[in-house]
Order: sequence, then C-alpha cells, then structure tokens
Amino acid sequence: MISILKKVYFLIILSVFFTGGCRAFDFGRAEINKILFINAIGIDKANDGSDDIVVTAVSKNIEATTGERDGSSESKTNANIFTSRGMTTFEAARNLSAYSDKKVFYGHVEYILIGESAAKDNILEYLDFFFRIFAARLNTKVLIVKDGSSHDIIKNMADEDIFIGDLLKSLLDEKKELSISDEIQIIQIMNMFDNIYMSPYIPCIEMKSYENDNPNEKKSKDRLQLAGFALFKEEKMFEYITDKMARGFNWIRGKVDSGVIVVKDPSGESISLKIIDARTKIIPKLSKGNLDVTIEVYFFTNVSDIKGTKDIFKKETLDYLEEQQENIIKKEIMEILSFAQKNNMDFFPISDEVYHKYPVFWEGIKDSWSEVFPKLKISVEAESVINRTYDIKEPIKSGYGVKE
Amino acid sequence: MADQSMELNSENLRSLIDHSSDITFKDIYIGLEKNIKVTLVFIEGLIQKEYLSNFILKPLLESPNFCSVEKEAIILDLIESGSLYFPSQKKFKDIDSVTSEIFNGNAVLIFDKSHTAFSFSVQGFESRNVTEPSGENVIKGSKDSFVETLSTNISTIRRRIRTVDLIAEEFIVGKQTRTPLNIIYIRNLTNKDLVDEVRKKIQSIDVDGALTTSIIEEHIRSNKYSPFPQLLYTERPDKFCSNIIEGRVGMLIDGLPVALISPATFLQFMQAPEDYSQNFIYSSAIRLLRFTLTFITLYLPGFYVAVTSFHQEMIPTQLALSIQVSKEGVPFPSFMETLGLLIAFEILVESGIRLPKTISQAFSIVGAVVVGQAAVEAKLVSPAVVVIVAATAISSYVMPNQDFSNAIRLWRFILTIFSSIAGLFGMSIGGLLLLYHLCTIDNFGISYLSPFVSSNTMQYQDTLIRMPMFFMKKRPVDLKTTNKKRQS
Repeated sequence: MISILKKVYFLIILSVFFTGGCRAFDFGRAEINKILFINAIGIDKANDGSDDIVVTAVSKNIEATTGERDGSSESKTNANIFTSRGMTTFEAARNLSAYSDKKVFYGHVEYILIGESAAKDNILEYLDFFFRIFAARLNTKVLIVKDGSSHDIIKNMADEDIFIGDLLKSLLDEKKELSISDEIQIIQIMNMFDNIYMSPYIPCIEMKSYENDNPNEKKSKDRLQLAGFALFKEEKMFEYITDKMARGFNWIRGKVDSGVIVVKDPSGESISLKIIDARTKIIPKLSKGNLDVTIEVYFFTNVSDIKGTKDIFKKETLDYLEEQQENIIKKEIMEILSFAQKNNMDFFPISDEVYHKYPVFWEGIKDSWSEVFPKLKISVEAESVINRTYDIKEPIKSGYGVKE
Repeated sequence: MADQSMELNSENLRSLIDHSSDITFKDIYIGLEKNIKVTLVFIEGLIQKEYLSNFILKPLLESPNFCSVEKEAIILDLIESGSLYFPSQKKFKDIDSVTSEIFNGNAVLIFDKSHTAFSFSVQGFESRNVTEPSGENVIKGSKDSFVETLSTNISTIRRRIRTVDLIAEEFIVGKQTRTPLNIIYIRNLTNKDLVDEVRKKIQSIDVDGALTTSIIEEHIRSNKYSPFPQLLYTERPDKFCSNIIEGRVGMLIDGLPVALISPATFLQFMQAPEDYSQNFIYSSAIRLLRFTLTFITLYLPGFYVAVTSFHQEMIPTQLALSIQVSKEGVPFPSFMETLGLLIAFEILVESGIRLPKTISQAFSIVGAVVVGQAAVEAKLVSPAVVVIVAATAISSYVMPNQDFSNAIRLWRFILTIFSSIAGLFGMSIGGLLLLYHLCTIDNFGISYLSPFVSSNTMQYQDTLIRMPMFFMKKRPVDLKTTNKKRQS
C-alpha cells in the first residue's frame, strides 16, 4: 500500500511542476481581479423592429479604498453598465466580452430583469440561456419590468446613490410589508412553465414618477417599486395584476405575511388593522362526481390605528370589525378568482391541489381541465381574530382623565 | 572497550583510561604497616568529594578496624561486610564493568593483588533544579517539570505513582554516549505485548549517541516517513503519569528534560492538561474550538486560493467585490500571493527562534511592518491574503503540541499547492491523501486515528468534547490493558 501512496505522491508532485504554468491544464483558473461580477442583467427586445435581443449587464462599482485618487470621485457612478445585442440571449451576452475589460462571469447574477416587450413576445426564448448555463444560479430572481424596458431602468438607476442590485434586494426583503408581490426564482419559473395545467406568474417592478421633495434636485423623481405580478398564458404575458388584486392572489397562494386592512367602526371612523399571521387552505371536494373547491382563509390582525375616539373593545364591536375584515379579504379573493375563471387561467394552481387529493379523479379530468376550470364552483371562507392593540387600548382623547 | 582477558589491576586500568585529565588516580596505602596499596579512581566533577573523603577515605585510613589489619583479603571482607560508612557498594572482578562504573560517576577502589574492585555511588554532579515547565504551563495543576537528571525524574514519578507495580527498566543506548534510558510502565496493568515490543525496539537501537529525542522516536515509530509525531513528549510529570496509569509505556532518557510516551494517537495531541482540571463544559468548548482551528489552519489558505481562483461563484457577491478591489493592481495570482506570504511567515518564525530576545523585538516589528503593511502598500500582496495568512498563523498556535503543529504546517503547504492546481477538487484530493496517510499510521497495533476508526470501541467520551470524569470508566480499549476499568 505504501508503494502505491508513494507513486501517487510522486505523480501529484510531478504534476505541480509540469502543469503549474500551463494554460491547457489550469482547470479553468481565473484570477478574481480579472473577473466582471455581473449582479443584474436586463433582457429586452430590440426596439428598432428587428428580432435582436438587447442584453444589459450591470455590475457594482466599488472604489478602491487604498491609494489616493485625485479629487474627482463624484463623477464615478456606482454601476458599470454594459450593453450588447445579438440574435439570441447567448450571442448578445457573448458580445459583451468584445469590449469588457474583464471576463464576464454569470455566477453572481442575482436579478434578471425582463422588459415588457420581451415578456409579451415569448419569455422562454429569452430565458433559455439562464436555464442552461451552469455558471448562473438556479435561485436567480426574475422580475418583469412593467411598462418599460430593463435597459431604461438600469440606465436610470445608475444615477442614483444606491446600486440597483442593492435596491432590488431591499425591495424584495420588504415585500411582506404589503404582500402585493413576491420573489420568484428561476427554478420556480422552470417548474411553472413546465406545468401545462397552470398559468405562470412572475413579479413585476415599475418605475414611477413622484414629485421630488428634495428642493435642490429635479422636480420629479423616478422611483423603482414592486408592482404586483405579470400573468402568463403559455409563454406570452397576458395581464398585470396590481395592488389589492395582487394581494388577493397572494391570499390564495398563502403568501400573505402582513398588510393593512382598513375598516370602519360603527360610527363610521376608520380603523387600521395589521395582518400578523395568515393561513390559507385550498380544499377540493368531490361529491357525487361533482368537484367543488373551498378556499379557507384564517388570519389574525392587530389594531394599529384608530381614527375615532370611541372605545371599540366590546364584543359586539369587535365582531362587527372582524366580519368587515373578513368580507374585505373575501372580496379581494373573489375578484382574482373571477378574473382567473373568466380568462381560464389557473395560476394558483388549483389543479395541483386536485391532483394531490384525488389523483385518480384527476387522471380523468386533466385533459379537459381548461374546460373544467372556468365552470368550477369555488367558494371562499374567511375567519379572523383581532388579537391585540399594542401599547394603548383606547385612543387618547382630551379630558379622558377628568372625572365626570 | 577493554579486552576480556585483561587482568583487573590499577596498571591495566591506567593504560586503558588514563589519557583524560579529568580522570583521577590516587594510590593510597592502608593497613597496619601501610603497605597495602589501594588505588582510588574517579572522575572529577561527577562525584561528591566530601562523601569520598568523609565516608570512604577517612574510615579506610583512620578507623581502628582497618588500621589493625595486615592482609588485603581481610580488608576486602571488611568492606563487603559494611565497615565503610556507606550504604551500598558493588564488587567487581572484571575490568570492563569497572570502567563503565567510573564513567557513570562512581568512585572505584582497586585492590591490585586480589584483582578486585569496589565501586561506590558518590555521584554528585551539577544539575538543574526542578523548575516550572517552560512550554506547557497550566493555571490549575502542578508546577514542576522534568529535569536533565534521570534519577530525579524517576523520583518525581515515584512520588506521584506509589504503587509497587510501577516498574522502571533501565537500558543503555548509544555506543559512545552510553546514555541510560528507562522505560516506565505498570506491571499487571500495561499490556505485556506492548512492553515487550517497546523493549525489543529499544534494544535494537544501534546509534552512536542518544542526545535528542528523535533518536528514540525515529527508531520506535512505525511510519518512518510521516511528518506526524508518533510519540507523545511532555515535560510535565503529571501528564506523563496520567498516561502511564492509562496503560501506556513511558520513556525517560538521561540528559533530556522531556519524557516520551508511546503509543501516541492523533487525539492526544489535541488534548491539553488543562482539559482535565477545568469544568468539563468549558473544556469541551475549548476542545471543539481547538479542533475547528486545527481544521482552519490546515485548510484556510487552500480554501482561499481555491475559491478566489476557481469557484468565484461561492463567495457572497459583496465579499467577492471587496476581495476584487483589494486585489486590484497586485501582479501575482492568488496562489503565489498566498504561498509567498505563508513562506514569509515561516521565515519570520524560523528566524525569530534563533535571535536573542533583545533583537527579536525589533525584528518582529520589522517583520510585521514589512509583511503586513509595506507589502500591501507596494501592491505585492492583497490585504485579503494578509488577513487569511494571519488567521491561519494564529489558529496554528492553539495546538498544544508543537510537533503536531509542525506536521500540520507542512500539510498546509501541500493542500495549498493542490488547491492552486485544481481548486476545491484538488483540495479534496489532498484532504483524502492526508486522511489516507493518517489511517496508515499504526503504532504497536494502535491506529493513529483511534478511537475514530475503531468501530467496536465507541469510546468517544474524551474526543471532540470532554465528558465528565464519571463517563470515563474504562481505559482506552485499544491499549488492550490487563485491567480494563479505571473506575469500578
């Protein structure tokens, strides 16, 4: 045994000397300072009428901290943007190397932004490259740019103080505050598009113009924000859903973490309730060959804000509030459900639940699912509890401490 | 050495050894008529002169017993029956033993006519006092250490292990140095085969001198080409004794203030004496930290090289960008930076050892400034590599055993080179080779990685963590001790 070990040692030590400087045997070694770490990549359809694809790659620009720079640091932006075009995504991406000073590396791509035109065309054509290459990660987040192109967004953001990748990260980290969007990774997209019984969905971002509150700057300011979902019919984008409709969609998906529900107290004043926990169950039921589906939602809220001055902490009032918030949620859900059934798009997907509960029955109806789904009887049940009131119970009102 | 046929008398002895200035021959005449010639032979500096004059010469010349004797034979009888004020003496008839007695520091009386010699153990040479251990200090624990004198060391052990079964067997090692070496074990406890095996190996040592521990270690260990230490050495008598009562064999060499323990396993090099004198939870945490840091010091430079030059996708984006920025303008590839800095660190350590204390302070400042700052500013290495190598270096100092730490240092280089050839793939191959190498080491039938590799023992109470003492009811099974339990 020892002689075998010796041979192995010998061979390996030999290989160090003979292959150390050899290009052919470097097993893909690349020095870290010769690599361009792409953080976000935008894919658009060329807007000049041709079939070309425009790829916009952006990498974060960290100034070297060591060594003196001669005072002109403010001209530097925080993002390095590279744009190129080609017949396919891969060709366009490869064309980046033509003028990039470093090796373009897709291992750190965290966000893929897809322009609206590309999403409406055929999203899979554009994304195939990222499904395929091993360097790109399967947990890359994909976002659709609503009403615009990714190239514009990336260019716009280059002037901002914050790097686009960092901004997207914090936007997605805070998604649960409003529960109107979500984070979808590329592997989930692969699965969704593979499932022929469901309509895929991808979250959106949009650039919205606001009045600028900073007196020293331009009048209007563009802000990047999450904007619901883009829904797909097969490979083509069909429609956007935003705000309450998007939240209704998240209710059915069971992805609501938090959010605000505004209800009225008996005297007509507004009360804000904060969703603190929510559970959703999609329960298909088969009785006498008839399939119907019940969506059960169960959630808790806390009182965060009372506009009026009345004491609401009586059983009748609370019941009244609970019923109101249940109805609001029900309405949100019903809205998205009727939208789905009208357009025959099962994006929840209810087909999965049916398959899991009644696999044999599913075999019989799966081919005609597109006919079954629009006529499916779906009922929504919501139940809720108002839990807590935070630091104070009744609203502060003047004269409260004075004995009458 | 002397011819066996040579007669024992002062003339012959003189011709044999009287060419060194420190050997003293002194003819004295005793008896009633002062006509019986006795030659006293000793080596200056090895004996206690007062003992010689007070307890041997004085009675020989002045005691009425001796002064009234006329014949040499009667004097011999008197000495043998204890008329000299000395607890023990040895009688010799051959010149060979007499010479070795003299060189061992005894004084010898030679009676020419009857060809007889008596040796008296009046050894009294300068020796160092028992001091605090220099390398293995503990807070809670004994503060004595082994010294250069074998007999002092054995008495230190005897004071700790008072059983009658503690055996100290003496061997002489080295053709020129004639160094006494004792093996220490406990009869009826230590595995007999182990003792026999050690005895056989020590007897087969054929060297000129036994002045360093390596002479013994390299003859006793089984894997002769391994960088890993296979004998545990310690300067702490308490650590030595705890190993002896565990069922291992100890070795003490005259002239060396360290003791050797065999067979040693990988785990012993990770155990520190404090582990057993502190709370077991704390000890376990420290033990885990030690294992983790050993792993870090072994793999960190290789991992850094692999990750920065092969698997950049593994680094978190922000960190990758920081490393990239820190490496901007450095002309060397990562592995050259890392290896270069590791070598620079070894140079600092190596040159620091030899320097006198006063210079070494200035030297370490120069080293730190040059390596840590100037090299970074001159864009020879990136700050990230400096941090990595510093973390590696600091981690390597938690190992309680310097020999083991040295072996790990060697393997760190091998793993870094492997990483620079083929990334994490190369690093894992290197790791496998290391594991394979460790598995092949086997001393006296006890595998180096035991108890991790022996599935039948399941003795993990004292491995990655140190369980409370009442969990350690049995001695290590691999040692095959006669008495298996240490607590009943």
